Amino acid sequence: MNTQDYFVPARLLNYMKIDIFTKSRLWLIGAAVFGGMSLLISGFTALGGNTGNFHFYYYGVFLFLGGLYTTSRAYSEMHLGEASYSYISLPASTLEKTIGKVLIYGLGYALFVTVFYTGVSIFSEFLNGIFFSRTHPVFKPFGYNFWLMLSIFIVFQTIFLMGSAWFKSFSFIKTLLFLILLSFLTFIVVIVAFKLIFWSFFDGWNLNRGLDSLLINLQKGGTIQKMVDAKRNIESFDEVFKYIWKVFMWGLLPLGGIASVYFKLKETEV
Amino acid sequence: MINISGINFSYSKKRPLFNDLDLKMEKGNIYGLLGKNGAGKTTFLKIISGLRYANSGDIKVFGQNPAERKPSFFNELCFIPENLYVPPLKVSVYIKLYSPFYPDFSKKKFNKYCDAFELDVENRKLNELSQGQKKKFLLSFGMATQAKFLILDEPTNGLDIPSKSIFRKLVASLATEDKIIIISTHQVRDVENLIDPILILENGKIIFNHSISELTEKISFSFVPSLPDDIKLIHKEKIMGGYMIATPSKSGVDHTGIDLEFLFNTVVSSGDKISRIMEGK
Repeated sequence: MNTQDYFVPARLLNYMKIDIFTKSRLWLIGAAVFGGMSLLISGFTALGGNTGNFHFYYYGVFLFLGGLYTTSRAYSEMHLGEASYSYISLPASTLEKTIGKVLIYGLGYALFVTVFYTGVSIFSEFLNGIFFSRTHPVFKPFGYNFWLMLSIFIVFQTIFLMGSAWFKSFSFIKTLLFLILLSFLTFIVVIVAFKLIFWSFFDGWNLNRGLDSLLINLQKGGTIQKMVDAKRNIESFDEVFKYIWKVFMWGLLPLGGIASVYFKLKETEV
Repeated sequence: MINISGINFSYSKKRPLFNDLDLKMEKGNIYGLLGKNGAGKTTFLKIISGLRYANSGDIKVFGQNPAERKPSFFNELCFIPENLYVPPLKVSVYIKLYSPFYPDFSKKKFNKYCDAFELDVENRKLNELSQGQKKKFLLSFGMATQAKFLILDEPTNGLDIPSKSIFRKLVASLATEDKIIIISTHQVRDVENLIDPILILENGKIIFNHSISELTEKISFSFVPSLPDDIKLIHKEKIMGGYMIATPSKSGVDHTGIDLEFLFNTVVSSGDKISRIMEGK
């Protein structure tokens, strides 16, 4: 196997450069709109006396709304008749065409928004201080909540990247609908599975947890050992659930999204 | 070289386009691919360039399978489709961004080709150029990559009259021993004296695949003021002032040169006769 045909860092960088140069206009226009609106809304809320953590929440909107929308357009050229010729025949491997987009629209976008919005928030509060003598705390890209938000964005970005590769048009809306449908189906499957597997913890459709479950066991004439077992089951169930959720959220979901992009790129034809 | 064996392809199960298609193409040639609308020319070009997948069969282009879409295959391929796409970039930026993907790209040659086409657009945005200018730019860039495998789909569409002649000269100069160039076109007069051999695709089959010298050795193409009585005609067409006729070369009619349009009509309407004569039967 010749690795040159699969991954060459310099070629990946060249590929990313093309994307940055051709799509930078969309990013800059989006940043200008979000930045301008931030200055206005921040000014109005400061004038109205609200000095809460405005910039952190606004950053979240900027990151998710802007990021997921631009991500859903990441593979737009692959679906345009004429553009698809040059995109598919560009001499970069499928792996590079996948990783390149993940890096640009995930880490790249997050870094761009974070640096840009830190600057916007400082400038905004500088203006608020001068004109209204009231300020919000400036946006600080540190802390648990910031990293959690960023991590969730990176995970969701891979799903929207998948939508961009799979859907030829309206990929943002279609990916949102797909996520809603997926969440609904997952909810149904999980509830039914719980009902079937953990039936002893259910009372009808109500889950009896903790003390309730122990009391029911007690009322049913359970022994001390049964009560202890029931408590242990509930605790271990909680732990298993948390573990499964972590593996799914931080592992399976993003890796599944990226793998799906890779295979879609492989099979796409002009 | 290009080796195609047993290719099957269909857009729908009911309507197969290529059924067990075989073809060999040798280096050092400029192939002319001709065919009616819907004959499958563009699909054929997409399949041999890895942009579409055949349902079954084997394809080797310079020893590689195009369907694997390896960078080492694509950096030896220059495919200029009929309808062009250019990104919204300045010409100079495009060169900086795209040329690193082609190890043999020559900026000097690119400038030479642009000069030949009288294309002075270094600081202009590609998406603001006219269709003809875009085509000249992409042709110049494609030729400057020095790719071994060039596919040009309707390359003269949108080119002005002087540019068509420049195009012929430049492409002719590219045809070195290590390259295969395929030109697919309906504008056969634009590429007359450039393409050789000629491939004609009809109903998913290559019904003609011969060089001009092979052809003229066995078939004469002539203009006559009136139809001769005692000669076996393969095909005739009435034109202003007389007839274009195709006859077996031993019939004694002087060969006056091949008109590609007439050749195409001859092959399409009298394919069986042509095949028999070319096979010496």
